[in-house]
Amino acid sequence: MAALKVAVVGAGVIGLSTALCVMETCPSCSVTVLSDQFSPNTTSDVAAGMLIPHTYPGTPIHVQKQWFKETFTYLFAISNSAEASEAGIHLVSGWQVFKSTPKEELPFWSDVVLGFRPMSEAELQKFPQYRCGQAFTTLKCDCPPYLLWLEKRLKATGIQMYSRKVSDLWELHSEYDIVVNCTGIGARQLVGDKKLFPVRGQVLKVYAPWVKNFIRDGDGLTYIYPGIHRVTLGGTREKGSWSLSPDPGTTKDIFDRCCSLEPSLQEAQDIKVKVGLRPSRQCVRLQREVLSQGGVKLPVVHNYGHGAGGFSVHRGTAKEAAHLVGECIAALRGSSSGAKL
Amino acid sequence: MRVAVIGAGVIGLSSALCIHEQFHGLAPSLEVELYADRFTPHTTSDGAAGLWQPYLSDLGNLQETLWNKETFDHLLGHLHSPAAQEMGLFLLSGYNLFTEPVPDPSWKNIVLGFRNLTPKELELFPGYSYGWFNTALMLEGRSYLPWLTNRLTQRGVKFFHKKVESFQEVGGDGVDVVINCTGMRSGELQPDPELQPGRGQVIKVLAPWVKHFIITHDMKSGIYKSPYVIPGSEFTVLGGIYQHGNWSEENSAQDHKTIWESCCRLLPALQKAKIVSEWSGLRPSRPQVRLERESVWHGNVQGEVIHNYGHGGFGITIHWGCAMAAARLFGSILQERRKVASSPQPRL
Repeated sequence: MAALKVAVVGAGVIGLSTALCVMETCPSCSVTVLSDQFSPNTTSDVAAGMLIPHTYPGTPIHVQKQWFKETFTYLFAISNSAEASEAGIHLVSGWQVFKSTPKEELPFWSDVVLGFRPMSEAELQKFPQYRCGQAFTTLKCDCPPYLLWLEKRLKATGIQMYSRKVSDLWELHSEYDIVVNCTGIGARQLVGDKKLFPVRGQVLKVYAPWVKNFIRDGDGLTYIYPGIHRVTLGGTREKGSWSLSPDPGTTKDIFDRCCSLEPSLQEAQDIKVKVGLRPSRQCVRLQREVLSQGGVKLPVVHNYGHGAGGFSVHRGTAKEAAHLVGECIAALRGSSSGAKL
Repeated sequence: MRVAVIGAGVIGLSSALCIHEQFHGLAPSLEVELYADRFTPHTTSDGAAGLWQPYLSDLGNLQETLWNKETFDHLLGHLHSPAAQEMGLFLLSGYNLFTEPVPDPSWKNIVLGFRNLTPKELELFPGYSYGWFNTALMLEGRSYLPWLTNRLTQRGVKFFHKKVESFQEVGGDGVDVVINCTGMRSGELQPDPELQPGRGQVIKVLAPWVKHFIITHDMKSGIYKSPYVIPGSEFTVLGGIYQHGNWSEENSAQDHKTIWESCCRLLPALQKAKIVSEWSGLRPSRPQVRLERESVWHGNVQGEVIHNYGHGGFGITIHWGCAMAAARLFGSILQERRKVASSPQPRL
């Protein structure tokens, strides 16, 4: 039986990790990645890549926790190996601080990250405007390195990657047996999903190599995330804004907010401004669909809508998407093994 | 009042600064001069990684623990000042690893967020079954020493590039007090059998993905004989050598191999790190720091020497507490001189 041809559309962290999982689950498949953008021009490249989950209102907590745990465990192993620096994965410790006591004393992910505990009074003295906080150690996926490392792993398995703008999933039906839709914010137009909306984020990537700890305001708007070479300073969460142009007023505002959390950032050099549109949704769309026209069917697996939590759950959702691809394959093979009596 | 400080490592520069800051307005025409044959970046302090962390046990030297605390609190107070980055001062979190449970250190309440490691964290470090996590400070010599030098220059302290052969050489000739901050080579000015070199060697690499210090301990071998990794603002320092009594400042190929292999075993990602340089230095080790006054005679003139040396591998960790203590000793000398000067003449 001929190898099934799977097209993964999208080459951000979701597309690449899903393609890798599909190959791992179904080594006999021929997998191709199609995308109009590759690193360093994807939404993933703008993100800091911190493993601190975003909570999806529409997904049961135990499922989100499972996705996060799976992703954390996977990356933890890489961070501990000789490949860590090439993959851009590293451990980072720091503090999440709150001006007012949060509703939830313990977030659902507190036992997945390392060493989670409330901050001591002495630690809080560094943050005079904040009344409480949490200290923990987590992982960071630096991009482009992580995406480039995924691309390298994919090429090593024989996966092809093509720069191509797919305007309609159906256009792939003649070349591919199964399509996996990892188009992030692009899904809005590609499949007309009105439940998907952008949450615009502007960030600064600065040179401040003495910053070794992360600091995050519990309101999610101000954060300092040290990467391998640059520190990401954020940010904004502008619901419904499609603008990809950096806003100078916002740049100054982000810089000021971060400097009040960490005054030494005043000495930061070489400030680069980036904008990304978080592909946001009540819940990640992780489901099968069968497109059909004129008796011809095209199975599709959707894996998009990760919003602010893409990195935190990418491996977990990629594995689930690969599992759904497996179900599509079983369905295709079942239906091709002879007509029903 | 002329003061000659001998030594331009972290101890000499900080002692000079402390004394000048506290007394320049009080002592009549206080002149501070600094003599050294080595200046930054060629001092022992420049080779150190710069991590604030005392030894595991203070061996009952409570005074040293207090000086360590004074230093930490002083630096913490500067953390948010505009000078912090120029000083090379920043917070750094990390791990201390052991193969068996150990008592908590004297400094557990000085550093921030001290706690034991969780089982999952220990998975990162096969072979180690116990450990601590805490947030401490880094004070990089290559930034801090120039910063101290600038502060001193601004205050009018004069620097002399010269190898001082004796206290008498700078004492006498109008110098009232000598501050002896000569570290490893104090024995050349006054024999001290308790002062011995604790030779160390370090490899500096480019590994910017390392964001934590990792210090392993082998309780049987002793301090610094087990691998450690300390990330600075630009380079990461790999070490794990402590050779008591070895005066060699040459890099040893065997030590290089020991450091490299043990650190790469600890952190496999280091295998991909680019080596930038290698350095050997002598920790001025002593059972305890020598911080005390001594009267020294130049002909028939009595001069005072304040000794401030023997800080081993914790010079940066303890420097400010010691500088303040040296300044207090200086203050008492000033006080005595004033009493003598203002005491009534004897009646005939």
